[in-house]
Amino acid sequence: MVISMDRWKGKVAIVTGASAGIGAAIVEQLAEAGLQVAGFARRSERVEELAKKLSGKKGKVHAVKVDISKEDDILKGFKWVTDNLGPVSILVNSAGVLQNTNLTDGDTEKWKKVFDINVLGLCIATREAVKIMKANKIDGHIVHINSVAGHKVPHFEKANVYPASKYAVTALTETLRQELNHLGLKIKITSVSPGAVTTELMEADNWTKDDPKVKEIMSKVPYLKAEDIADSVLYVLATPPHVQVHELTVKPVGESV
Amino acid sequence: MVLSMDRWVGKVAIVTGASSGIGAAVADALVEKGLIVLGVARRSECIEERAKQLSDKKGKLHAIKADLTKEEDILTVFKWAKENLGPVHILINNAGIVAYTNLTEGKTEDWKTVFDLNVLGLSIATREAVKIMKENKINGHIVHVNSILGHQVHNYPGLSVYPASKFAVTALTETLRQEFNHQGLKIKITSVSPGLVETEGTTLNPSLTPERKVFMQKLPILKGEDIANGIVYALSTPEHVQIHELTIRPL
Repeated sequence: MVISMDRWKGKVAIVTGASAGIGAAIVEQLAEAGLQVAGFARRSERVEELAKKLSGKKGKVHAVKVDISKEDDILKGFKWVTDNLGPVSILVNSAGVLQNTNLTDGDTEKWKKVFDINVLGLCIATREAVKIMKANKIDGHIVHINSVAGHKVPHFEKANVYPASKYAVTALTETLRQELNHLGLKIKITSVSPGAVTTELMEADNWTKDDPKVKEIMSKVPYLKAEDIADSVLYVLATPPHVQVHELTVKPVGESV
Repeated sequence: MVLSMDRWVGKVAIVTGASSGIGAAVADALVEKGLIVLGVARRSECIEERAKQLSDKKGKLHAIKADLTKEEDILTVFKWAKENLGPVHILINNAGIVAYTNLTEGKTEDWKTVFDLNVLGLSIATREAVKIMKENKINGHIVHVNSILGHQVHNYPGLSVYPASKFAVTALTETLRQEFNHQGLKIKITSVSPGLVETEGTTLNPSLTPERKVFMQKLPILKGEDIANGIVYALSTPEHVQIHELTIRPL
């Protein structure tokens, strides 16, 4: 097999949403693979705990406090990484939120939060990473953690703007790929779209506490583990320079949505 | 990482279109991983040649001659596998063709062959594999080798019904997944959709027109083993993880 993480050893990776769930699992596997990983999150203390836990690994984890909904934070985060770790080679856009509301009666602030984090924050981080990769002639790799909801609207009455935000990520993946082609850059872009994963996505806006019906639905569906998605991301990153995994959709067996 | 091919070691895999290109690369990769692989193709002698070269590997490569546009041939393949190798655990629906013709002036025969192989042959083979997996309570894995053209009709002239046949494969992937769910089966289905790969269907096609040859030589291209690697990744996921779609493009 020509699948190998070797060429990324010692290189710098930025993972957003690193405090829990898929982001944390990715940070862990990248550190095991020997990379210098900067974990961006609002709850940077969680990333610091993760860094301590992984202190014996080949790579190293650094916590950077960043609120992905604030452009200033993102710019500061990238500057810190460049100044302290070096130019970024891998960016994993894993930060994402799902808010407990709907469309017909919904909360504008909640809608705005979803687009600010899932779409705009992702675009800003991506732009900053590409800027650095261009300046340093790095054939880097950007991974967007998308969702099955970015390809098909799931049967879920409280989905509100989440699928729309992920449809945007699907479009952004191909738009970026075309832009990178036009610019003659050998940077790769991959969309990894998971089905239901056991993470803090639902807890973060008190879904199950407020709505017993949602709690019931969520308890009946099959789940993936965060490490299953981290495995997918590592496979994608380990492909040879000429191979671009454009889309990787991962579902739990028996997914009904 | 929880990825592993261990649970497939010693098990039977059937790979269609195993004489060259992606099929050959996948068959060989699975033999290296220790599987008993039955390579199916009209040019079975190509598979037999490679089987000789792979004789020192953990697994084994067997060859069987079949035309996958003929239902009787497909049924014979599955019968032979069942009687001589054991119940099938993995089916790689790789056999496929492009008919370089068009819609406005093309021959029906050419169109028919594309659908007979890419869609019907795939569906018949799938049905036979599932039958065996059900009988033997096997949580198997079926891989459809699809195409980026199964998701979007790119602006490549002269492909006629090929994208349509692959759009059908995309739909069949999800339809099959839903059927498995309804029947409570833990069999997995994966669609692997490559961009341009160096095969006898594309750049190594001896009957390419000079214009098409020139057009293709300018494009970035993948190798059969790049797709084989993607398929092995999909197969090595734990039992509860279904890789639904894996789209691989050349940079």
